[in-house]
Amino acid sequence: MNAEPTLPGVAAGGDVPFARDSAPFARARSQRMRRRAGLSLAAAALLLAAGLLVSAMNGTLTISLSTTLHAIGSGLSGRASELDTMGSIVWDLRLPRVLMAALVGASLGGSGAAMQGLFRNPLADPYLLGIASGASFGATLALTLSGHLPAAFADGALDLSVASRFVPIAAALGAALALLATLALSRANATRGGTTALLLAGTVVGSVLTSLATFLMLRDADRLRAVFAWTLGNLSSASWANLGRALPYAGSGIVVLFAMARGLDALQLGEDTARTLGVSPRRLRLGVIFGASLATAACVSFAGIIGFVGLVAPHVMRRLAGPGHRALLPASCLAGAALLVLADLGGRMLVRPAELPVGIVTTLLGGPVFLWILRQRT
Amino acid sequence: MSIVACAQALTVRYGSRTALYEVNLELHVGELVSVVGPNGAGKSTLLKALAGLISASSGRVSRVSAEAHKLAYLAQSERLPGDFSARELVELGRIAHSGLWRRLSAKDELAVEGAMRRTSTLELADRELGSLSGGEQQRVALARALAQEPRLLLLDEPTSHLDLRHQAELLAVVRREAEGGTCVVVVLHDLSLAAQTDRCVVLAGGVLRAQGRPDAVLNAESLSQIYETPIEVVRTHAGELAVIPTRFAPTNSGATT
Repeated sequence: MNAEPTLPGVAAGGDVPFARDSAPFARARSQRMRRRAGLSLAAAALLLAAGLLVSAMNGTLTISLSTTLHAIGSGLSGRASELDTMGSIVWDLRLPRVLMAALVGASLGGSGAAMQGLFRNPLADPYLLGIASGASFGATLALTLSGHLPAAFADGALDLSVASRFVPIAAALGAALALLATLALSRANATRGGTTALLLAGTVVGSVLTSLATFLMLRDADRLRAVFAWTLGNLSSASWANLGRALPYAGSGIVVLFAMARGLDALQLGEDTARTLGVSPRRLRLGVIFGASLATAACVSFAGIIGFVGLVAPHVMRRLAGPGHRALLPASCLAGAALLVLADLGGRMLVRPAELPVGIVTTLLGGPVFLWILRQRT
Repeated sequence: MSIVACAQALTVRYGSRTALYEVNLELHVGELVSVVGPNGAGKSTLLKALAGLISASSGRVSRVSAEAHKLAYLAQSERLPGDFSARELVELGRIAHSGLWRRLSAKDELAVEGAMRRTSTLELADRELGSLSGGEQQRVALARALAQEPRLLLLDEPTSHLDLRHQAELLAVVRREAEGGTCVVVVLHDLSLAAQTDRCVVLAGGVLRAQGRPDAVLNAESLSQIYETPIEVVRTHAGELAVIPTRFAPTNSGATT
């Protein structure tokens, strides 16, 4: 018994001399990590606020900071009708648009972070896994069946105000089905967590659903430009009314995802261990599918298919805020919002007075990031 | 001794394959039990069944307390999230107590620190798991299980990636847990390590072949038969059992793995 090995630093008999000193040390360090998460959140929020302001000031016309702030102030106090032309450009056109960009970006960032946690793979993203395509198929199908499709794509841009309010619901159902299909395919296909299996599954599901959606859109409408803009992601249809329509879906989706944070942390240890911690992987999966589908559906219904925000935002924030989902999910929402607001600003500035669909900008930015992550993984 | 968990005529089938057949096992408070046997003997299946992760095809597993936090399970070569810090990982063990919503309480913090101290991982607290050696990762993973303060601790081959010193250290840590009242069940490949536990459970082909004190169970003749390779059991001059495979001579069938 005397030969029983002891751990370094641990005296026999269970008395641990250095423990009393090192425990506060460890606690201080963990507080430092929490502070890091807090700082990252604050930085992302600041970037978003600055992005919103700059984006509201700039476009075809550059509007001064004071006019912009005055317009926002008047609008908030219910005196928007008194605004001059410049003021109403800010309040009626630009603010709904930049806020829609922020809402859509937050939804994509949060969905991406949650899906990366669910799949335990940093390449999961609503766009790459075919979920956005599922939402677009659901929305198109609902528009077709209700006969609203031609009107929705009139005037060269998507206008959902003509369609009934069930379009986002149909989009959410399509998104959920696509996510379930990707989950089932990637599980059936290969060893668990296999990046290749996951991406292949997502690509197949996405391509099939995009084809179906495109077929429906082109079947009886010759509004190629509007359809094309939707497929590429476009924020030009944003209005206060549409923002109000999108908010309940995006908001409740994000709230559901936030509620999954700790469970997603536990899931990183594997399903078996998560279960012995009292976490139900099944319920967690359903929660993420539900939340991500709602959030993605809101994005796709009102802004089309926007890729890579859900990939890039969580990837950046995981490095800054750490991998714990209680910080990572809100941080990814903020970063996604900031990213999309800035991408939209870029799309409006680069070729003004025309504008690039925001999906093109995010794809140009996100593609290289995707390749970089893929390279690191293999 | 009071019982923590038991298996009664436990049978587990995967499709047409029977992984465990009518296993009877009682686990007691403060006991360090090793589970040994050749590959495919059903060791991991037994552990998962005891953990409630797979259900019995027939027979039953009963635990005194059904609450999740009374049980901790460490899977065979558990895949750790490389970007979590060691401390963040160990804190996850407290989910079993605090649930998914509450923040960590002072009691949780104490449990985390205690678990990390007992596994000598406090100095790794701030390191990312991906930057730790295999042995360090194994210790942090064990700390996560200990932070759950379980009454039943199930460890599936926790020594697989460890060198001799770290194997011995790990056994010393779980020995101390058992002395504190936890029932520890550990799957081991190294029979000499198993000889240092309170009780050995020998599985082969899904059947419980023997169980009891190591010096009663670990005898050369039956082990040679079970493992299908010649094995000698010797006593060191410190009085401990050592199980040694001797030179392998293929049988006529040559069927070994």
